[in-house]
Amino acid sequence: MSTFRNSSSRRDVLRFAASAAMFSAIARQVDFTRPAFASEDKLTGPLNVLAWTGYDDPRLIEGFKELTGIDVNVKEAQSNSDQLSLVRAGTTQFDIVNPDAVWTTKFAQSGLTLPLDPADIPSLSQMFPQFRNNTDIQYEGKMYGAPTRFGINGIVHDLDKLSAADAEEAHVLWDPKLRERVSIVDWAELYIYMTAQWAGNPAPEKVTGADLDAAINRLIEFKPNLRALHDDLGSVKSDLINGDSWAVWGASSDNVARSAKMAGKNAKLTLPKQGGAMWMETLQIVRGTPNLATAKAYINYMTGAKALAIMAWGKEQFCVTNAEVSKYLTAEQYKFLDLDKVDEWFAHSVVAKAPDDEKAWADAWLNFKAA
Amino acid sequence: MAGTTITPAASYGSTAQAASVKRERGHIIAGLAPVLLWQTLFFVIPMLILLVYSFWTMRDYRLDYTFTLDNYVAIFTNPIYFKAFLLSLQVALFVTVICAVLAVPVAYFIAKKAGRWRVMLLVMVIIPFWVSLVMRAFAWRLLLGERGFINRGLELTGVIEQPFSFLLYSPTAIVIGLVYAYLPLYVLPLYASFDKVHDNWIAAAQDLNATPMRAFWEVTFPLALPGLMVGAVFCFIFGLGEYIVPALLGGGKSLMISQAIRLEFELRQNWPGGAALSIVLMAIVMAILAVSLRWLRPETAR
Amino acid sequence: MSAGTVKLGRPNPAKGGVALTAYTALIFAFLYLPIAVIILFAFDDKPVPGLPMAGLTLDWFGKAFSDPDLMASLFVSIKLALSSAVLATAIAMPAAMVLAWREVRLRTLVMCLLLAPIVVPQIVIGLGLVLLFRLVPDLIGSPAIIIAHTTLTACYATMILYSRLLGFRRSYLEAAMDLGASDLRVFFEIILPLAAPALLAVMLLAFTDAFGEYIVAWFVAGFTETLPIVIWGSMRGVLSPAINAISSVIIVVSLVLSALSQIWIIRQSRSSS
Repeated sequence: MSTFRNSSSRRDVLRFAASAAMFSAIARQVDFTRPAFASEDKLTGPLNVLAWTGYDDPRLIEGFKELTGIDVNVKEAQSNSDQLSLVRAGTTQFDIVNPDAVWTTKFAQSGLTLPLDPADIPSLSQMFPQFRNNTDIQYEGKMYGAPTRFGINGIVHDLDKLSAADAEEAHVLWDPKLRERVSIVDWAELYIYMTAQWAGNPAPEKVTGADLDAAINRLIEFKPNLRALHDDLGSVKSDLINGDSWAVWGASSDNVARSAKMAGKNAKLTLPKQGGAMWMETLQIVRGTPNLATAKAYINYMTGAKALAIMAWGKEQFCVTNAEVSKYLTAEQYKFLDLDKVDEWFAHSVVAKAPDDEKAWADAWLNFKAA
Repeated sequence: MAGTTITPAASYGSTAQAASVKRERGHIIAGLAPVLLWQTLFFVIPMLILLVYSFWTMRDYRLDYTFTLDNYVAIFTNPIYFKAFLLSLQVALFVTVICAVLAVPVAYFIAKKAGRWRVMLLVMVIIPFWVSLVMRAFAWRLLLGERGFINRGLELTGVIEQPFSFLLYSPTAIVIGLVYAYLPLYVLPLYASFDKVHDNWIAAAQDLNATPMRAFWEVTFPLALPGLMVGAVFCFIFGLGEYIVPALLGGGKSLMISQAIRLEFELRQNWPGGAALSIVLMAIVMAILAVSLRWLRPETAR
Repeated sequence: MSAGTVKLGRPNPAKGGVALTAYTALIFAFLYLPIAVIILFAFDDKPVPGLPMAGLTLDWFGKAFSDPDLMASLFVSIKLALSSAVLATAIAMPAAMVLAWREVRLRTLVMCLLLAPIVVPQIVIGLGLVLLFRLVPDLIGSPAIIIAHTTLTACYATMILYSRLLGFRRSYLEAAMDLGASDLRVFFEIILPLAAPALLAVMLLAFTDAFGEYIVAWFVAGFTETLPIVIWGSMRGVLSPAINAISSVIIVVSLVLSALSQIWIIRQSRSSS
């Protein structure tokens, strides 16, 4: 996977020069200082990307085309599992896939993704320091995912119905006064993780056996307070905005809070004192891609400050992992995105990890849903 | 002799008979071939692929190609799947009956009383369906929600003081949504059946001193049974496999078999398990269908 | 008809008629209630549909029509749904004729096979088809969508046509054939006109189903986008009222078209009487 050969014989140098010349003849505005293109692999395309919403922003696609001359085809998926299923089916050869960090193991174990070499992705050096060396995007010691967007999960609540002081106690979600008033999203790993976290488990991802049963029973105890469990974020948001729910637990809370506030709702995201759980989205390369060099270039471009600024404030608003987006956003936007709270979040909460025993958690979630 | 039903044991002495037998068989083959070929290619073969999958297992997110019946055993030993299937069955049956009751008068009206407006009314029954089901389900949320139209209307007119929260994210909501989704499935075939009932038959019954209700029950309705059965069969089958309406209006509080299957494929990435569940579901429904289709005896008017 | 019933000989038919009409109107109101809601919120000056309304605006219509992806996906959907509706009806009709009018020995088996695709959850069909298309990956996209939708709609198209054709007067057909008319002529001059309403209804139903289906379509669509796929995509944010706007336009256009065709029908019957 490395792009630089160790031997630098004359032939290699000549070949390198020829490639660079050919490349510059093809592409128009290429920045030669960008090390990603200094490899001897030619950029081929078009690039097939399977991703969550937001990656098909025309500005991003044009930006990449300007940079490399390669077209990008984006197919939108609505869940990690849809992505995994489609890539596993293999009918369309995708080059880039966009799973949440906690799905890295699932993709890697399925043999569908390739490890990344940080040297290929210099933009990663601009990341918030807390994201570097994150183990969630690693599998068997190698990095598989480049983080793009992230957020935090806590309790988003209607301030008129639930005070911030109340929401600081995580167990308020089990309080009978919230009967049929909480909406959640179908995200097994998150809720089992947070329940175990709030029960005092120091390493919730390791929870299994009796501890897992305890967590599931606790979740089943929560069910009377459940207004609705949705497949999609949009429904969760409209529940809160339309007053069917008084609180949203998890479900990319920061994103929900932002949408609610933009819709005029008096809502707040409160992180309980027992801690919140952060989520992270990554870009990964699909095994078998015929456009490896382009894929790497794409990841480098998308994790760069300019691209992530577009993703941060496009049709929707998201936190992004590149600290230098501050150059491209106004101060209000930066603050509205809570990007100034990153240190606070990391002090208070952890990035939710993928469970060690995936099968047991999946079984447990099935039990929760059927209860 | 052409047109009489050919019994297999008939002797094909005359060449005319032999020719018409050949013609019949030719017709049967030619008529069924396109759709059967199509379904074989684009349904049977994918299902066979999945059938093969159902005998494998998924270990650590990779397929294990050893033949095993574990998936099927798991289905029959895990009470969750049985519960989910039972729930789907109950809901489907309930909705089928309600839809039938609601649709009959409407179809009758359009067929018999609407005169020149028939076509428009029929098309108007269909038109809501050109809007995505997702959108219509979201609209039902705005209608049924606690701060939605129905509750606000009831509160404003003083009928209730506290909003009804059971209208949404409940079994009630699922039933309303499904009835709404499947009503046209009944109206169309019922209309087609009622349409064939001749007005003079009804008039004849009334001349014999039967009330309109009685004329309806004893003359019209029996002839509409084929349409009713077709609608019922569809409604039942669609209702069993329906995913969108329970997911959007049910609030995820109960697990139906369609959701269980989706869970297998999605979260658990268990293609073999999901395939097995689907095959079992299909087998059971096909069995029910086969039994009920025997009632759909062709009643050809001569 | 027992002589013991003490009922009036000819009760007032008008009474029953009013009740029936009122009931039918009620059912239509039920059918159009969500539609009214959708149209209402297309005019709401708020990004998230919901009560109370914030004010009236036409902005969302502008947004919808200026969104190239949305418009493109609308036309793609219409084109693909039309294709699969026609194809499904074309293969369903011969089968329905045979099932209705001939002694088919494995009739129940055939019908079960025909109905099976509806039983299986859509995600299973989607995955099954996308696996099948590994053999011909070039079909992924519009052709695959048409194939998938035809497969799904041909099922009930056959059954609906079958139930409609059951009551046909076989004697007409037999008489025509006795008089020496060729099969084709019988088909085009007798069967087709008589079955036309049913054929239209079935095509309408198939079009409708294909137009709104997105689960199977997503799996086999590749990078093609149909309208319901786009709608489903925007669900991650909140369903934008621009989608309400497009849906409203679709409904109003269809209602106007059907009203026009109804007027035409009335004119036709008036001119012929």
